Amino acid sequence: MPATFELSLPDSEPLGLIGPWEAASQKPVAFDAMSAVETSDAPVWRVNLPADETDAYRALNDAEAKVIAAESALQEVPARLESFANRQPKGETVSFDVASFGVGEDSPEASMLDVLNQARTIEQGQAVSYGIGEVANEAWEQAKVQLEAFLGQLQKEVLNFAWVETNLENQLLARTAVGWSGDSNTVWFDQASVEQLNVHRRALHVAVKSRALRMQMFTTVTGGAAKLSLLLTTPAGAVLALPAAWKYVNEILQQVKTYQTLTQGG
Amino acid sequence: MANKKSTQRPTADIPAAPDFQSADSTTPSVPAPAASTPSVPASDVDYGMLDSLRTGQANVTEAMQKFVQKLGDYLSSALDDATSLEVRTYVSEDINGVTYEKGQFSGNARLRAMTRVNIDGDSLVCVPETDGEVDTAVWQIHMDMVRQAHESRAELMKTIVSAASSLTNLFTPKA
Repeated sequence: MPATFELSLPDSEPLGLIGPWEAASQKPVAFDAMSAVETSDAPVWRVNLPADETDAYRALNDAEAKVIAAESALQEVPARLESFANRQPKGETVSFDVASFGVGEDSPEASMLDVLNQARTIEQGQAVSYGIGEVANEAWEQAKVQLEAFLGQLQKEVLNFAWVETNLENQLLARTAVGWSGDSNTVWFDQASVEQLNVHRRALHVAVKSRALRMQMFTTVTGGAAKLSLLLTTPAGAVLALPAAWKYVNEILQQVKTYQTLTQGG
Repeated sequence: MANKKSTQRPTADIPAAPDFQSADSTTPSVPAPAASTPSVPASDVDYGMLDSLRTGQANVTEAMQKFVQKLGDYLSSALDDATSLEVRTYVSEDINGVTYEKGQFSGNARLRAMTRVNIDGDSLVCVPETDGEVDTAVWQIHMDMVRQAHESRAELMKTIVSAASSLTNLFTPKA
């Protein structure tokens, strides 16, 4: 049985997934027993691991490595954006295209430029006749919608505790309710071995760390938008640049995730 | 307790989001004529697409403002909560039969250990025992969980400060 790390949020598919986490495919039967109590608005971080201890530890090692890589990638974003902004061509008629900034066509920077282009259109109040206007509009609009949804999700996460549960081969081992400030209540299966207790403790650490990284992601996006706003001209530039920064950060995290999945063979 | 020093709690200042939906928030305000229609350059005449984009900008601003408001509320309560840390450990033969109400497990869950650490260092610890002996396995994992919770708390504080400063940068008008 392959290990899975799933996040489920009430009423929406989670965005901005970090490290090993994937959107939960369906509501688990095991959780139905608690659905009538205080679980309605609480995110659930669910870890399913193989029963074999060695395999379980290996899966946790991989997950921890993915979280660390995501954190490193987020920490590198400000410097990467600084470097990008410094490449801004001088002059009034700066074009936000890959050639002007010297970035690769498939890079996160290229996608960001698409969105920035739209931001500038809005800022300058230019009526652009693209002919394919909808397509040109799409990048900024999609990023904006995603960012709004992410903010809504983060808001719910911040205002609620989270559930973290660990299953070994579909056997529920432990469940923790953990608040943002670190307060926690954990219920263990009373036949669990010391090694199994540690498996859940590590899974909990991965979940709590990932939750903090989602907030850090928000911080990175807002910081990035502030930097990108230097490429725009109005005071509202930072807000206009938010969708571009969001798209950029997301693509970088996705790249890291894809790379690690390939190298870990997972 | 009468002579006990008051403990100063950390604070985080979250700036209020300016109203970017207005035309230009840095322009000195002038009395606006009632129900006036702003003069618009010919190039800015509404072409539909721009309307949709401007609406999008307003939506993002609104979402940010709501989030900043909620984050501010949360940070206040988080800092209040941060005066103490509480970790509870339960066991159960049937976890799926355990319910959770008012911040505690109930049903067939048995509370085995509890630690509460106040910001001034005072601690309250309930140690698990089996037949008069300390249950070392439960105790060890409980203490590991307490240590982990301390680390999460420290990380939370860093995240709060970072979020506060990033919002400040975002909403500070450019020079």
